[in-house]
Amino acid sequence: MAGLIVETHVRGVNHFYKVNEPVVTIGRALDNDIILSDLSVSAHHLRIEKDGEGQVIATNLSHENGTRIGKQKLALNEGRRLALPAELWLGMSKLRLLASDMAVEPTRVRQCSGWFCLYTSPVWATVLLLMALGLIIFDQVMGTALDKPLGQYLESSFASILFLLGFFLVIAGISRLATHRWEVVPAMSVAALLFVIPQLVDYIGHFFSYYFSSDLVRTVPLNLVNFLLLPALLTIFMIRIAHTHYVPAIAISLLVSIPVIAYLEEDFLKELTRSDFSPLPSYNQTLSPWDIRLEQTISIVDFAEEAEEMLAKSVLREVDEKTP
Amino acid sequence: MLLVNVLLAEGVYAISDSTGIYSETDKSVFQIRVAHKQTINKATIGSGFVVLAPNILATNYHVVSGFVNEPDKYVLEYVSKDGKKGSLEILDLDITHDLAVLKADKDLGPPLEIAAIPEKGARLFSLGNPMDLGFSIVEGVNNGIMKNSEEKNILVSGSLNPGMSGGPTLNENGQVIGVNVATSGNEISFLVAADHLVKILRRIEERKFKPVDDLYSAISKQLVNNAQLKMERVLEGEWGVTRIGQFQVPSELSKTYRCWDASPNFKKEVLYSLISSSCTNEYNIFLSNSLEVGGIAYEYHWLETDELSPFRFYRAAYERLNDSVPPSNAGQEDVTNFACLTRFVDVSGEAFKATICRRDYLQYIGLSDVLITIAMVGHPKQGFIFNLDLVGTDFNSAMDLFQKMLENIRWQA
Repeated sequence: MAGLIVETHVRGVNHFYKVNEPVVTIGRALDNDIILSDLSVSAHHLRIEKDGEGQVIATNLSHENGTRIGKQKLALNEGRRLALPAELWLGMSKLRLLASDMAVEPTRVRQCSGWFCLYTSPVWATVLLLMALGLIIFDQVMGTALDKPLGQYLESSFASILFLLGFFLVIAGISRLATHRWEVVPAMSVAALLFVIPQLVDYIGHFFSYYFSSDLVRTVPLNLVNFLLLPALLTIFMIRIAHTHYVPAIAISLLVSIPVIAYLEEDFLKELTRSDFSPLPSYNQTLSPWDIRLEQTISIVDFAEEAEEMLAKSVLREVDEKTP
Repeated sequence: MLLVNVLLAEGVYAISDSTGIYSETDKSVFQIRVAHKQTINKATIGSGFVVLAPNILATNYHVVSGFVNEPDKYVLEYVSKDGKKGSLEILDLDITHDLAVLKADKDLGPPLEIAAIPEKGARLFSLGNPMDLGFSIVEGVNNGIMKNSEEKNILVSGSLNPGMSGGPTLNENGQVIGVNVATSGNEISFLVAADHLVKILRRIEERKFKPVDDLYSAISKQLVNNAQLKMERVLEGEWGVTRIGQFQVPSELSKTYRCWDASPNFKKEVLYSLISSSCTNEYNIFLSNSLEVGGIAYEYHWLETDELSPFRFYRAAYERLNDSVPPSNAGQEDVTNFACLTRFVDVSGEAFKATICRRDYLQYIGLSDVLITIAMVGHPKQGFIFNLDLVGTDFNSAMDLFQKMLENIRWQA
């Protein structure tokens, strides 16, 4: 016959008690068999015993916060037969009654497969980190038309490199808190991806922005990346590396991401809330030395004619709307 | 500098050796003020003079513009030398020459006569109430009409001062030849030629002294007509030519346009060169303290590099310069949003990314701000940008100018 296991859950830590005695008492007083140091638990809170047929019976001894099985509250001294596994609440403290022969969750095997290798392989992590550092400096050089020694570019990239280091430490710290292990390699990958992906999206977005003469093909992916990349990478990290469940994984990812998103997207959010008037014209300003584009070159006359027709429509409609 | 708005007054000493002119005309010159309806404090002061009939006053538009733009907030009144006040209404105006004609609630004094501009060097006498200090007469010398300016105003060597705007300038016979309008300091003063005033007075006589029906619509028509007329002249005339990098481009479009070199002084470590030139018609029609129209400005930029890679040249230098900003303070209550159209056009065999933006004025129907920018593409080591900005113009006229200018931008091998 399978043995009875009591699992307590106090302050985030699980304890398992193998029950051999016929009667077990649970409470905060020190003469109990299982002691719960939670102030919402009564001194003598619950008694567990087995009847002649081996069925488990739980009896509520607490007249203060009482005992609940699911949503049902037990009366004082009320006993209830339980089928295992069972979940009980003693005050604010959770307790599970388990059978020792119960199946456990399958073991999660960490293996390098497909895209996930970007997270787990030290080689990939190093490649990504070097890519991130390279892109940070590349972007500095490409954005400045000055003849400066590389050292000066490194200097101006310093803030970004510190950010990269900061992200790495935060992510590694999350793994330490969640799993009590330092997951250094995956944290390195996640931090590097946080820099590499937006930069690549920006370069590719610029290409297509010129190709289509449209700002949207650049700004929409860039804003999506700013909003989603950090929480997505963190969630994958929490689930696959720290083996957290979905809900806490998403919750922690959002908690960490929201200040960063607010910082990155401050301008975008302001844009959303500002009035519908702008004194500045909005048009696609991208230029490209390779001149790869969808649109044909037209004559000046055709362009002027099209402008006369198209612009009048939109502007005159607004005049009509705004003047009584 | 327009001659309104009293700030802190410095000493003003009017020459007044012509006691004859003073005594003959002093009953015909008044102070015109725009005052706040509630506090009765003055917001703007200028001068005005009786003309055509004893109850008709002429002044500058910019003296009365506060009242025209916000008639619910302000009142318009005259003040005589002995401090008597009365209310005024606007009969008609010429916005492009900064003139307004007003009707008083009673007869004010003898109307002044109007005469043609005398020969250069003739003595002139400007009347008005400088800095709210009292009526004075300032003597000056006629330098004739400035042919190389859009306004075609009369240049006078004499010291007009704030508060004298709208006052008359007389010849030695005491006849009006111009209306005081602006100064550049150091004895450089400007008058609106009196024949523009005569045109308004004729219209008023034809209408039997009734005010114009819809002031804004009248102003709009004048502005649009003026823009079309000026554009026709520019399109017909001979244009100057200059060279910017590999391109031959139009420089001054007429004698009233001025072009300046605008190339930056780069330090040695900058890895590309930039030649810039900027031109304007140096013309502004005053509509309100925050709104002026009529300006046409255009600029050229030529960029070239040996050292930079195409990617870096475009990203760090060329693309950053491709940014057009409207040269106007017009706000939400004045204009619509810009609507823009971007296409690739062929200019002298080269491909350009071209954008035309237009916004219209809400109160001045038919008037638009137009921004045009074209940037050469496909040259890995060279860039060329042409920006053309027109403030408060007729859109179709702007398109005509745009087309002709682009036809005159030519690649020189």
